[in-house]
Amino acid sequence: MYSRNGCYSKTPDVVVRGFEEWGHAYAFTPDEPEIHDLNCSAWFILDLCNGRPFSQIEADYLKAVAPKMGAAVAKEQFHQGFDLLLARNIISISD
Amino acid sequence: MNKFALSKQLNLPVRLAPKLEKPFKLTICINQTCSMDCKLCYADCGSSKRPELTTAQWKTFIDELIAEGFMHIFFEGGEPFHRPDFEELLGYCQRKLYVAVRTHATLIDEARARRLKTLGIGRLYVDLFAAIPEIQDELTGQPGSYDAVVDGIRHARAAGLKVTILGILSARNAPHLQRYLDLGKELNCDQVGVLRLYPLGRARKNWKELSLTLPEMMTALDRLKVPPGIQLMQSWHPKDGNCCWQNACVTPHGDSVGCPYMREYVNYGNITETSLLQTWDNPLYRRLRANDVEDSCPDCSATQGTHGGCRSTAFAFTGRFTAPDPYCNHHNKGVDLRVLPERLLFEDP
Repeated sequence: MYSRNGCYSKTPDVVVRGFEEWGHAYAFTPDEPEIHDLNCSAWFILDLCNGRPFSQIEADYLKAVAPKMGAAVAKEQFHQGFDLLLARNIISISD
Repeated sequence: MNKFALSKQLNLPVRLAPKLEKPFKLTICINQTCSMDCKLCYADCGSSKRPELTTAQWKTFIDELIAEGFMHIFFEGGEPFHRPDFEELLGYCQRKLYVAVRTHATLIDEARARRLKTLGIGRLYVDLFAAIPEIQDELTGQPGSYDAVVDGIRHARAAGLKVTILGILSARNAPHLQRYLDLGKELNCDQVGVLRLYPLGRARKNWKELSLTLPEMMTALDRLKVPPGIQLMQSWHPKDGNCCWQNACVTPHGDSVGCPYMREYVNYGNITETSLLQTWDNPLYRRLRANDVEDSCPDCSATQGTHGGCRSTAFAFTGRFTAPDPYCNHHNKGVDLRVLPERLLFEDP
C-alpha cells in the first residue's frame, strides 16, 4: 500500500542494470535475493522514483505516456507497475 | 499467442534475442576438486595439474564484474564447498551480486545452511545422479552419498534457501526419473531440473554405461507426471535453446569459455591476462552468439527466441559449431547419441 503524500526512491542496495538494446532492465534485490525483469514501463517508473512525492511521479508518467495510449490505460499501467515495484521492494518510501 | 508463435503462424522470421553489448551473468567454475569420485563428473576432478585461481585473484575478478555491471553469478565446480575459501568468496559477493550455487550438497550441514542464508544465496542447484540410494552411491563412488545429499537439501530448506534438484538424464536414472519429482515434492523444493548428459570429462569416458538414445530420453521425459507446486525444467524439444548469446563462463584456471559445457572445445583467453570483456570480443565467441546455424527447429525457436539449440552438443556430435543440435528430435537426423564421434573417444582437453 502506498501513500499519495509519500516520497519514493529506489530501495538502497537494489542493483539495476538497463538493457537499452533489449528495452528492459533487471533489478537485483539483495534483501530477498532475486533478479526481477522490468519491462519498459516498470523501468521508467523506477527512473521517476528519485525521492519525489507519489503524485508528482504519477503526473510525470502520465504526461509522458498518456498521449500515446490514453489517460485511463496509462494510469492503470502506472498503478500496476508502481504496485509491483513496491511489492518487490525495488522502490520504497524515502525520508 | 506469444510473439514467437505469431511469427511462426505468419511465416515471419522468429525474433531473436538481441545481441548483448556485454553479458550480465556469468558462471564461475570455482574449482576442479571434490569429495566424491563421480562417473558423471564433467570437470574430471583431480585431473588437472594447472593451478587454480587464488582467493585474491577471484576477488579482483569479482570487483571487475561488479564494475562492469554484472548482476548474477552462478558458482559451480567441482564441488564448490570443497574449496576452503568458498564461503569467503560468497561473502565477497554478498549484496552486490545475485548468487546461485550448484553443489552436491553433501557438505552442507545445518550450520553451513544457516550461514548461506545469511550470505544471501539466491538458490542452490543440487546434483543428484540417481534418486535410488544404491545407484547414486555407486555413481558417486561414495557409500551414503544419497543420504548425504538429501540431508543437505533438508538443511538448506530448513534454513529457508530455495533449492532446485538436478538430475542428469542417463541410462542409470531414466527408469526411475519420476522419483526426482516425488522427492522434490517430499523435500518441499519448488523446482526439479532434468538435464541432458554432455560428453565431457568422466561422463565422456563412461559414455557407454551412461548414455541413452534420443527416443529413450524422450520416452523418459514424456512419462513424467509433475506434482502440483513443482516446476520441471528441461531443455529438449520444443525447449532446446541456444544459450550462447548471453552466456559467459570462467574455469578454475581463469580461462574464459563462454559456457561450462563448452570448456573442452573453446578458450577465449585467460582472465589473469586480459579482461573478461576483451574475451567477449573473441571472433569465435562473437560467432557463437550470432545464432549462425545451418538449420533451426521452428518450435524450439518459438519457445526460446534462438536458433539451432545447444552449441555444445551440436559441436560434440558433428564437429561443427553451426550444426543443428542432435538432442532436438526435429534435427537429430539419425544421430545415435549413444555413439560418440571417434575424435571424442581419444581427445583429452
